[in-house]
Amino acid sequence: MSLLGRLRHTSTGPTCHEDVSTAAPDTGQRVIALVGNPNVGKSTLFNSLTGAKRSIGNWPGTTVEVGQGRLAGHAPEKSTGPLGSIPELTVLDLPGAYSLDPNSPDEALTRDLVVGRETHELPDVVVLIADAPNLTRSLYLLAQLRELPLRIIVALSMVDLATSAGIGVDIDVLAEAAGVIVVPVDARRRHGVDDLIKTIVDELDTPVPSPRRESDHLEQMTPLEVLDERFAWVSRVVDVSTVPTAQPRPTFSDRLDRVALAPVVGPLLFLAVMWGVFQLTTTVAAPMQDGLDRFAAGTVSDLAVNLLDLIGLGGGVIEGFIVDGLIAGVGMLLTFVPVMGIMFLCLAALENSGYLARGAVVTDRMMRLIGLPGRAFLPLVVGFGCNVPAISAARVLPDARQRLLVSLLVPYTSCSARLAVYVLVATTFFGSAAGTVVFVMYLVSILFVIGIGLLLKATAIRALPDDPLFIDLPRYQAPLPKMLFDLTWVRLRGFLRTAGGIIVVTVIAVWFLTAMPVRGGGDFGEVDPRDSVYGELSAGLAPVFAPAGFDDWHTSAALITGFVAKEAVISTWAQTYSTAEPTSESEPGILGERLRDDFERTSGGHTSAAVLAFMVFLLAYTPCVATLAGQKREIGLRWTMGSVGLNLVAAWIVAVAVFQIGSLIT
Amino acid sequence: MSKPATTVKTAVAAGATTVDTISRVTGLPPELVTAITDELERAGELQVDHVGFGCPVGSCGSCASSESCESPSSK
Repeated sequence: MSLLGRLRHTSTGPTCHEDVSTAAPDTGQRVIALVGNPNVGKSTLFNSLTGAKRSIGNWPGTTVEVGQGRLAGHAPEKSTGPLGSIPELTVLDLPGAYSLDPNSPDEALTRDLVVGRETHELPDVVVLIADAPNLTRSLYLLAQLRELPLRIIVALSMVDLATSAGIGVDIDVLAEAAGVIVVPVDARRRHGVDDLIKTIVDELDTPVPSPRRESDHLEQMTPLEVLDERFAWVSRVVDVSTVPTAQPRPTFSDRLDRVALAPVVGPLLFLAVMWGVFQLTTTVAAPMQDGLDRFAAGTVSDLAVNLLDLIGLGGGVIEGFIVDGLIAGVGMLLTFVPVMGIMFLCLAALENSGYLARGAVVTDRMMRLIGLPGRAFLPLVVGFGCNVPAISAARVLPDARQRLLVSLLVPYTSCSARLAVYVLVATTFFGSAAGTVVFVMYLVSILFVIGIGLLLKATAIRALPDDPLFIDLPRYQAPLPKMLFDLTWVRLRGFLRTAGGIIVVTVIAVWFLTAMPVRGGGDFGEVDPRDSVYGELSAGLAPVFAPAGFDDWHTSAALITGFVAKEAVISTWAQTYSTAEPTSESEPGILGERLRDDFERTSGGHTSAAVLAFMVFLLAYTPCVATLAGQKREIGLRWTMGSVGLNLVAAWIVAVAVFQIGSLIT
Repeated sequence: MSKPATTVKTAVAAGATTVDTISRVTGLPPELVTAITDELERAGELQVDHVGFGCPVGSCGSCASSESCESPSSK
C-alpha cells in the first residue's frame, strides 16, 4: 500500500484539514511531504503551496493531524513568476517533529509517514522547513532525514528574524555543507514560494539519492555514538554557514538568571524569597484567621448552643460533642484556609513564574557540596507541599539506595499541614516575629534533611551513586492570574478534603476519649478532660518531654493526634483546653492564653525556648499515618519502623538541645 | 567538536544542571546544547527534570494520593 493509502487509515475524525477524506487516488500519485519542527511556519507554507484555507496558529503543536492538499489547480494568486506546467502533486503537511526518534504521538506519526516501511512508500520529495533562527534544531532533523533514501529540499524560513537576531545565514554555503538544495522562503509574503515549487518539480525528475551517512557503521553504533555523529555534522554545517552579525542581546530571563543562579547571591536570594513567602503568609493570614476563629468559636457556637437549648438538648453530652467537638474542630479547619490559600498562591506564583526551577538549581548545588545526590532534591521539594506524594515521587530515582534515602528523608521536609500549627504557635508566642520564626522552621527542616542525610550516608546507606541532574529552566514569565487561582483552588480543595475528613474523625475520637471518665467519678461527657481516658494517657506520656520544657498533658495529647495528622494538633488543643469561646481583636484567644500559661509553667519561665523546642519536635517526630503507609509500600515495614524510631529519637534529641541551650540564653 | 553529545553528557554528570552551565563548561553554543539534551532524553541517556511543588515527577499512577487528588492532570 502506498503512502496515501496508509494515510487514509491513520487519519481519524474531523480535523482542520478537511480535505483529507478526499485524498487523491493512491496509484501513480506523487507526494510532497512537508516536515519540520513545530512552529516553523509549516502550515503557512502548506497554505501557500495549496491555497487551502484553514486556521493557522503560531503556537507549537498547531499541526496535530496530517493535512493534505493539491499543488496543481491552485495557481498561486499572487504568483511572482512563471511556473510553467505543474504536474498533479499531493502535498502532505505532517505533524511537527523535532526528531525521528519520537516522544509523542504526533512525532510517531511523522516518523511513520516519512520513514515508511518500504521504499515505495516514501514521499517523492521531502521539504524540510527549517527556521533560520533555530537552525541547529532543524538541522538535526535533516541529519536524520539524509540517512534515508529521500529527495530532500530545505525551505529556509524566518531568515529576516535570524538577521534581526544577529545571525547571518549564507544560503549557498549551507546548501553545499548540508548537501541539499536550500530555498529561502517567506510563506506569509509568498516570497520564494514559486522558486520552491519549481525546485520541487525539478527535483522529481532526479534519481532518488542513496542514504548519506557520516559513518558506514551506523547500525553497529551505540545510541550515544549515533548522536555524536549527527551532532558533529550539525555543528560543522552551522559553523560554516552562519555568521554572527551582531552580539546576541541577552534576554530578560538571561539577565535575571545572572542574579538568580549566581553562586553566592543565588542561594541567598532563594532564602530571601522563601522568607518573604512565609512572612506574607503569616502577616496577611493572621487577621483573617482571627475573624474566622471568632466566627466559628463565637457566632456559630452560640447559635448551636441556643438551638440545642431550644430543642431541649443543651448542657449535656450532645452539646459537648457538637460545640466542643465538631464545631471546634471544623472551626479550626476553617482558620487554616487563609494560611493554606496564601501559601499555595505564593508557591503557585513561584512555580508559574519559572523561579522555582532556579531555586532547584541553587539548592542542588548546596546538596552536592555536602555529597547528597542532586536529583534527591526534587521529591524533597514536593515534600514541602505534602509528604505523601513526595514518597511516591522518589520512584523516579533510578537507584534503590537513592529511593530508600529519599523516602527516609521526606518526613523531615516540613509539609503544609505543619505550617498551620507553626503559624498558630508563632503568632501566639512571637507576635510580629511570627513570619521569621516560621521561616526558621523551614531552615531547621532543611538542616534536618542534610544532617539525617549525612548520618544515613555514613551508616546505613553507603556508596550512593550520584545520578546526574538536568533541570529544564523555563523562561521567566508573569504568573497568569487564572492559572494561579486554579492551581491554588485545586490544592486548597484537596487539602481541605483530606484535612477535613481527618480532623472530623480525630475530633470525634478525641471527644469520645476525653468524655470517658477514668477517675474523679464523673459521668460520660461530664468529666474534666484531665480525668478522662485521653487525659490520663497523655499525662502518662508528658514526662518524656520534661527535658524539652513542654511536659504538659494537653501538649502530649496534641502530639498523639498529630501522629495521625498534623492538622489535628490544634483541634486537639482546643478540645482538651475546652476553649470554645470567642476571641477579641485586642486580647489573645483563650487557647493562646492557656498555651502561654502552660508553656511558661512547664519551662520554668523559659517559654520561648520551650516553644521552639516544641515546634522542632513537631517538625521531625513523625510524619502523618498516610505518609507512613506510603513509606511502608515503597521501602517495606522494617525500614518504615526504623524511620519512625529515627524520627522520634532525632526529634527528641534536637528538641531537648534547643530547650536546654535556649534556656541558658533566654 | 567530534563528540558533542558525549561532551554534554559528561558535563551533566559532572554537575552542570542547566543549558547555560553546560554551554559555559563545554564551549558549545546553547542552542546546540538544548538540541543535544533533548535528543539524549529521547535516547534514554539523560533524564530531564521539571520542578514543581505539586504533583510528583512521575505520572499520577505513581502517586499514593492519586485517588483523592483533584488535580487537572489526574482527569
